[in-house]
Amino acid sequence: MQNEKMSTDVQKRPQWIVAAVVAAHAAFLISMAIWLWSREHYQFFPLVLMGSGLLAWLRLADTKWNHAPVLTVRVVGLGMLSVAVFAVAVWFNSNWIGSIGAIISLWTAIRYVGGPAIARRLRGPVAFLFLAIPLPLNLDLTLVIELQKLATRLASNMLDDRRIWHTVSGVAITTLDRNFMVEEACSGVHSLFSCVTAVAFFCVFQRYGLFRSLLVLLFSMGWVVLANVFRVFLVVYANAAWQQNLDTGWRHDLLGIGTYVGALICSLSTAQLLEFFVPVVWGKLSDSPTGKGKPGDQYYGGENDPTVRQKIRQFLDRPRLDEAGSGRIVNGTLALCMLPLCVLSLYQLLPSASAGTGGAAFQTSVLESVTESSTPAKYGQWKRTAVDKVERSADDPLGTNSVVYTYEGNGMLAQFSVDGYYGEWHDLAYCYTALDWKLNEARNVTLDGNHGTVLDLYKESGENAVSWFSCFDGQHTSVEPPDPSGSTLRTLLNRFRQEQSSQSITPPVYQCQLMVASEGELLPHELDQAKELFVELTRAAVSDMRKGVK
Amino acid sequence: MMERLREWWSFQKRRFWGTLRSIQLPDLLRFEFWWHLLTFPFHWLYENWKTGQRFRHLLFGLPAILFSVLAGMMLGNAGLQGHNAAGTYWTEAESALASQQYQKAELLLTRILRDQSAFQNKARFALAELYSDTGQVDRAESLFEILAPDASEGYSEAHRRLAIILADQISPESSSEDKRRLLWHLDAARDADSPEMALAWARYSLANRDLLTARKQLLKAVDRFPDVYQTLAEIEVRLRNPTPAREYYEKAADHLQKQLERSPENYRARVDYANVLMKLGRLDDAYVILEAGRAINPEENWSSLQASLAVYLHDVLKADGATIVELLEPLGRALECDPNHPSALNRLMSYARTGSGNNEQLRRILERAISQGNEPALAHLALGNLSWLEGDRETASFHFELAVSIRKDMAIVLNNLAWLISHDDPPDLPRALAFVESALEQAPGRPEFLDTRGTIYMKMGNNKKAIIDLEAALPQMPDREKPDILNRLAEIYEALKMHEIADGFRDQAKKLLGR
Repeated sequence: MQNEKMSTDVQKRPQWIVAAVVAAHAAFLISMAIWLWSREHYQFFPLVLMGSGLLAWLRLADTKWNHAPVLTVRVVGLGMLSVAVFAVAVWFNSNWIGSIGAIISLWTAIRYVGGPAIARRLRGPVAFLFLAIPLPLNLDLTLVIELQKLATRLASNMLDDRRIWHTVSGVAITTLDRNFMVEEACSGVHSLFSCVTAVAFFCVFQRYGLFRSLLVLLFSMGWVVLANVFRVFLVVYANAAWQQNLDTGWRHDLLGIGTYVGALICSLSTAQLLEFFVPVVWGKLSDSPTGKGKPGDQYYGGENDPTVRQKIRQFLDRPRLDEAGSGRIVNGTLALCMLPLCVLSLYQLLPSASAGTGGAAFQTSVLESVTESSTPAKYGQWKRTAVDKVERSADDPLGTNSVVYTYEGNGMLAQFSVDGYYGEWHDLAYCYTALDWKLNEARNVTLDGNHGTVLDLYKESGENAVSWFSCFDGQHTSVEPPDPSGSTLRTLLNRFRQEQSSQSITPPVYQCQLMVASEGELLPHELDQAKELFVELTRAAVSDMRKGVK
Repeated sequence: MMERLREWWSFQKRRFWGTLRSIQLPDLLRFEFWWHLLTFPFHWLYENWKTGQRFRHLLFGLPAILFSVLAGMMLGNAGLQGHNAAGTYWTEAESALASQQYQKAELLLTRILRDQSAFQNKARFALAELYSDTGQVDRAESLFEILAPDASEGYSEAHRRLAIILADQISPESSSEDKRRLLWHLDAARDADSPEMALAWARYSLANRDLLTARKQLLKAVDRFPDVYQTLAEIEVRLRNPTPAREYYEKAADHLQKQLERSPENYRARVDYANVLMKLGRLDDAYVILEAGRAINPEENWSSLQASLAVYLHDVLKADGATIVELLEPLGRALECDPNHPSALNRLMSYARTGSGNNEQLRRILERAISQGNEPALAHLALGNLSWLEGDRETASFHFELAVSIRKDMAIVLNNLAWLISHDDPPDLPRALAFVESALEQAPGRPEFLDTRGTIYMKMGNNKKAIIDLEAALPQMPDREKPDILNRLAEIYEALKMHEIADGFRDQAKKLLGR
């Protein structure tokens, strides 16, 4: 009876520790969930959680929890790692690091309460959770853009092969009759992430090893790309050759479903083919779906002749303390480390009182320093045709004041403006995305010795635009921009950079920008002409600002 | 002994071969090693096939194999195609341009430029010409400027194009900067042999008054552009080579005649032909040609051309020593065609200006011309002028009135003469007044005559009479003539210190000019 009580206690205890370590990261997990839900290509993440849960349930269906939770070297090491990651996440207020920390903490807790046997079963389902974590350093945005470009490029080659005359500008394919935008859906971003998730689920369910799983996932990504190349090709080809519109309505949806299903089938087929050439070998233990043991078991040596690997495992997994002592240390760690970090992370969720970046209320105005004649009336083939002064509210992200100069020449229309004032470097990309422009590419450049950024923009209607902008501080020194576009980690980097650079930027900051829009993408020589104009006008505007700003 | 030798020899042989056989090559130099490496995957697959293989996996893997092969074929083919995309697009673009499918051509050329592969300069040039043809002038000029910069060498075809355009506009009066620019593009075109470029070089040489080089270049171009025969002839004339000049004029005449036969409505060709005939002394033929032109296209200014022809005849006759009576006849014909012809009027006035000892002789000639009925109106006009110069106003008016009454268009001639004289340097205002008053006697109230008289009064300082005439003429004049009259009225009122009225006239003039 005492043993039954002990085993019951043992069965009850793991639940609260596992739940507690995950709940400690709630602030980050909830923020991450909100962020993920706001991105269309990440909205499948609840399925990842459900899939992980399902896999875990299947794995633990006939498991007896008879492990006494004790501290081992492995558990201590993982515990220290999870606390360290949690602390870093709290320090930088990073949802991304916090979410990774939550998974590491979950794994640590499973390792502690379940022991090696349970941990081995749940390795796959826990690893599956990483699919809900977005790619770091804005790689997902890079992937989106690169996939769009890749799909466009390959489809373009196929169209050339079929003599369907067209041009490719960024992510748009233009034929004689129409303009086709290769949207994110067409580029396969949505289907890539969901297909990879589905295939990963299959791999985990089939208990593939790491190497095999990665190989299958790699192939599945290739199939998704191919399927979407075919989709882009077919949409354009059907319109040009058969006068059929496959880019709208139920036909577009059907095509999308078809290509997705096709990619999925090919991915799974590749896994089967791989299994044909390199069969999965099961060892002695009966954990595999077919009861033939898990992969890798054949590498384990016998009890009397342990391998090096097994020696290491034995070292890492040998209990170092008894159950009671381990429990005290774990409770102490939770109370002294996890709890304060949890409280701090929750505190950081409170709205910040720090000043925003849009439109700080400065005493002076850009309009006082820059006049109608601040820029030359004529430059090369460019001729100034209009000058407008714009005043906005103090909190407008576009800036409180702007002087807009319109230039015509070389068959183009360009608008140069001096905007201000801001408290720091102003990311124009956000403003344009708010005006229904989509960002194709952003890159930092050096123009005339000044830091600048070039934005490659497009609209759904097929309109293209290029914008050059540079920010200057109160000393009329150009402000170095951070890496283009945003992510949670970028916010972290920005915040870090801001702390470092706050001494070197002297407010107020004003911005010089030039935008040229056209129906199609600008030709290379047109880009050069517009860039030259921007450099010249910026030089003139900054010169006047030097005289005017006090 | 032999036996021993035989044994020794066998031993040595065995030893030798044994040593040889025992030599082991390193693995990398052994065939077996490489063979094993090559066949290892197949062995490995075969062993796995034998040990853990299931047919089901292969069956399920067939779609992957099938689509891999298909995708590989399609993308591989497309990839190969992609390497030569620029060439394909260029060929198609040339075809589209030739058939004037501009939209398609623009798409194809834009693709070549965006790919930034081959045919860049050609595509840019073709696109610039396309923009030029479709009215997108700014974009065309922008591209041409890049292709043919003034400060560095660009695309030779673009330089060639620009050189031809600039050569068309160059003249001896052009600035040295313009000439330098043309020379730069002529050089950068790297084409001195084609007829178009030879013509451009010739024009450059003519602008620099280098007749010999111009002739040399024109001879290269003449087969392609027979129009230049005329220019060649003029060069020969300036080089005082009458014989070759005549030959070239003859060739020019032949060419222009054929041109007119093909397209009789070609005004330029007709004028050139008449001009060439005139240079060849075939004035009657020239006159007929111009008359034929008038019949085909009456709106053109044939009268002035015919008047010029008559004046030319006058000059030729004068050079041949013809009498004044003989000279008056072509002048009369010139003024009949175009009473406003400046050359004819000036020549006429040159006879009436004389105040030397030849006056008596001139008078007798003119009187004989009247008695013989040879252009009496003009003779009366010339006599009237002569009398005026001699101070005999009464006789002068008498002759003017007769001149006006004989020829209906004499009034216009008198008016035009009055205008010329009043704007001469120095002006002879009283004489001009006499002319215009004679003209007004025949056509009183005619606004052009009132305008002339008003202007003469203004120059005389007689503001009141000037205002009366000008204000009377103003309402009847066409709008295009009114600004000048309004400005003169403004000037008069300004002199009378009536500034507001003057400003009013000036504003009216500005409004009319602004339309």
